[in-house]
Amino acid sequence: MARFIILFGILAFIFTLDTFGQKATVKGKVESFSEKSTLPYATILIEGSNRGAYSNEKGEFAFDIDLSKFQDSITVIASFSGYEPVKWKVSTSSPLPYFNFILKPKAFQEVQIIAQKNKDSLDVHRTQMSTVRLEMKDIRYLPAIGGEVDIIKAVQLLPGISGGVEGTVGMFVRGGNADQNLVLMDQAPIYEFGHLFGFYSVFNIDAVDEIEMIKGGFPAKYGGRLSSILDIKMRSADDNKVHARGGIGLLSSRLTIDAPIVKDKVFLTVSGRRTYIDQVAKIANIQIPYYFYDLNAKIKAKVGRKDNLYYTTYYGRDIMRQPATRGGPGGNFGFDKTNWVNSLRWQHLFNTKSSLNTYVYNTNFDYNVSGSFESDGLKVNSSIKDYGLKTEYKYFLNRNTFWNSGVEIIHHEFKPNVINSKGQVTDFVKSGSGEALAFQEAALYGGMEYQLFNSLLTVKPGLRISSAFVKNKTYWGLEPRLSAKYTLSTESSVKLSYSRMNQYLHRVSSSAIALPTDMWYPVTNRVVPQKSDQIALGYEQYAPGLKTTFTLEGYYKWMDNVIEYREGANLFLNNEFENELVQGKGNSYGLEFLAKRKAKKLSGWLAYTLSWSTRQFDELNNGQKFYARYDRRHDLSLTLNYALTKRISFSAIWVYSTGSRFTPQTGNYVLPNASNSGVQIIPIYGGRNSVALSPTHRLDVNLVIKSKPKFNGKWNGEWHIGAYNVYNQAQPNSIIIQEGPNGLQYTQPGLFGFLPSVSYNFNFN
Amino acid sequence: MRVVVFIVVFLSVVSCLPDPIPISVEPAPQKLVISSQYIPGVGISVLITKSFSALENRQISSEQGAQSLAVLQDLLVANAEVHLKYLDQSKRLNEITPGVYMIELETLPKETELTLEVYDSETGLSANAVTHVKPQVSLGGIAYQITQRNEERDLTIDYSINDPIGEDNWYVLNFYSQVSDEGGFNGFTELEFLNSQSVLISNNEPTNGEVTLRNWSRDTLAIALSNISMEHYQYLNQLKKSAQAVPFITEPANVSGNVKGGYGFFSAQFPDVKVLTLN
Repeated sequence: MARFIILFGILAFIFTLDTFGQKATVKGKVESFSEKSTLPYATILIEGSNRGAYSNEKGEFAFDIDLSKFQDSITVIASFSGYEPVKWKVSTSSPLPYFNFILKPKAFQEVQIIAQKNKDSLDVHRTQMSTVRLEMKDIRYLPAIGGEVDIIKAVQLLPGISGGVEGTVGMFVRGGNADQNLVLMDQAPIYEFGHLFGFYSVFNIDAVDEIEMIKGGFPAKYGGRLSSILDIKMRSADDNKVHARGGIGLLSSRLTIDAPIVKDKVFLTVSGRRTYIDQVAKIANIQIPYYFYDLNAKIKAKVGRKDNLYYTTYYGRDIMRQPATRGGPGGNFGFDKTNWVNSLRWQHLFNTKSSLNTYVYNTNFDYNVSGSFESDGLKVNSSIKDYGLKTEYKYFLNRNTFWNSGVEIIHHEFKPNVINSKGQVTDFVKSGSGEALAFQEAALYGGMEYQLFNSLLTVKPGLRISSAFVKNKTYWGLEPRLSAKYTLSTESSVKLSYSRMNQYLHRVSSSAIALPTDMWYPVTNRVVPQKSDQIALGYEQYAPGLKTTFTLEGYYKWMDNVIEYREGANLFLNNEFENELVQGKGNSYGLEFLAKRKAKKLSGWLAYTLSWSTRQFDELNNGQKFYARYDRRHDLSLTLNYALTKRISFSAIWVYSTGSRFTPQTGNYVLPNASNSGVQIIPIYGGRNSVALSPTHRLDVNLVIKSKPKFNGKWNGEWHIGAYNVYNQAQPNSIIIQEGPNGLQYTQPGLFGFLPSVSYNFNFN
Repeated sequence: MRVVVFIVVFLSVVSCLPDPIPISVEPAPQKLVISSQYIPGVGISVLITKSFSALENRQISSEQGAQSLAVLQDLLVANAEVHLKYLDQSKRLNEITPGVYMIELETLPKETELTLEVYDSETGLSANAVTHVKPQVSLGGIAYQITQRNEERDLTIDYSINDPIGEDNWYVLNFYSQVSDEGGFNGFTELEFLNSQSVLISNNEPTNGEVTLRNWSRDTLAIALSNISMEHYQYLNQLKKSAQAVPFITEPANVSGNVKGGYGFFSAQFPDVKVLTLN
């Protein structure tokens, strides 16, 4: 560990050598006031000089200037076709601010509204509803197990999104199933996004730039899952300086470095993370034979004035290997899970009005479980491989009309349950290659956005035509999309959306527990695509006095062909599981409330969801409608961050949720066997998911103490001292029957009680 | 490094596991459980027990041996009113021992409808079931082979069924081994039922096949073939799956029989038994 810290220190020192100088970086973002969307390819200039840049696709820009060439101040001008240019004058004697330009369409001059001071009201003016964007600064100080914030856990604190079993990264969005969420890392899908049995996600917070969670009103560019799209954009370096940041925690450490490879042209961001509880335990002579590590890298290359290339790669492994005990029997057990994702993006700017983005990606998920005892052994392997291409053309016709269209093709390969057995295990499990399945998905889409009635009404229609090509069968899906927003005032709007989605692959989970070995299974001749229709209506209001945006949304979702296992299905190494699948209907509806405050002193959000989610299958529960396993009636989370001083801040999360559901065994009966020479005990089960688990609640806290900057303010460190589950309330992760005061009873044991943590995060600029 | 170890140990010590949260689960309502045995020309016997809550701490194992039936003792339903209706007759069954009811019957024509009605005045529980008499179907040829595998022997049996042509029939093939080492066939009570080896054969499956019994160490094997109804076949299939269920790996499923208002299966078939003395 000491060597690890020293290595960090040396690296930090090396990176400082190049960076002491007179240069400053002009950095910021250009956004549209009317839409709260970013403005790509806006022009940013320093008044009176030839220094400047275009904003990138996310509306961001950064370029270096030599401050010694300017007097006491500089004026930065942002302009975009159809919008009023904005000038921003700042002093050169103090550090340059982050230039967040909000440009007003010319039509908006008639409506006398806010400019800079109310930029936080921009959510109100986005047409896209049922969407939450989280920036890393929103969640960086949240309390977390082991001191490392996880973005999926943060997303689970938003309305309409509930977690699965405590401590896992499963998501259940607006009454959908866990497999109905498409998680994209720079547009490449991630199938299994949990580390450490799901306690961490595969996303290293230092490598992530922005998260967008879409629960409804899906734009036409997205498809393939019924319930949500989690679009995660990885961070890319874009200036000529070396930056480093990272954290040292009790369970893991991480380090990220941004560095220019070719000045002004090629930039690299590389991140690494590893758990070391196995190494620490070794010192105490305890064996914890588990660790994970992951590596992220992103390269940005400015190929020309109008072209950028981005390459993102992620490689992560979870390894558990319980070796044979010395002197004991020669057995071992372990698993090895690997995710490897690559995404290459070519961004081409035709002119200030049109652009093309093309992605080529592949994702590779591989899972091995193996065990052996003396001459007997079993190894099971499952894998998923995707190769995809997507391209999107965007065109800003005029200030009222925006058009985008694209095409997407994915080749999927699934290899479930490749089994190798030896010794006596072959009596029970035969070696076999499983049934390799391959199919192709393709989609064509187009969407537009235009403003009517003096920009008060914005309409965003779209159409996606999706298809799946399986052996001897082709499925087609026509997916209309519509979003609309009516601006009631400068600080309030009403929104409406409708979307139809098709899903051509499914993950089938046991009704009791979700395992990493759960099968992803494509559509076949018999297993047909899942479909959904969702409508949502919302109202948004920004309260400037409170610096808070209030959002209230109601939704109703109809789902067809959702998938479950047949009653009595045996899931263990079952290569015939298509016979065990059944498809049925689902309905979910609910109300979501979000109050999100952004202010210097106190920020955070309050999220509440009231929802219902039901299923109906002819083959399950005697055909009777039943509640979905993660039907939770109430889900509340309060997330706060309070800056006590400039250096000390306090954050807390309090969550409350109604329990999920399960199918209890409620009775037994005993029958003599056919020869009357013994008995068989037969279980009696209650209705499917008929029992709701007890509600749970929890308080987590975190105190952040920033240490004094070092090395001319370039090294900033902060201590995070936190506690998970402060008042030690059980956070259920399973259901068991155990002896109670009045005989046997069902109970929900928790995984962690009060769990303190300490970590050190640093940032080097 | 000592500091790190100290921190880890310190945090492990102060961390604590909270008490589990109890969940309120309503027990399944108690119902009557019915099973039956039919011997043509002799009679029909019915065993009546009752179900119990999953949260009752009963020590019941499914171990072999006639004595294990003793665990049913306090589940047996005594003094019940049990009636059998067939061929326009209605007869009350006699209780020969608590929970076991019997009536003498002549050999009934095949597919005769039998209706069983049970009422327990003590608990107020009632149940009824309808079944049809299934004709006996005989086993055809049987051959066996013993193979040595390491230090153990496997017994492979080839069987065939004299399946009546033009009929849809479902079968269950059960295997029994002699418990005592005394030679010869000493009746079913001396046999060990090899439940896991039961073979269910549906109407569209071949009526001949092969079964391997692992680690065979006995001298006598009894094979019993019963001709059963489709509903009975489905019921036995569910029972078999239930016996093989693994918690969290197998999806929960209720076993549904033909007893209305209760559990179990009321059937009237008689097996054809072949006994093999193995060399």
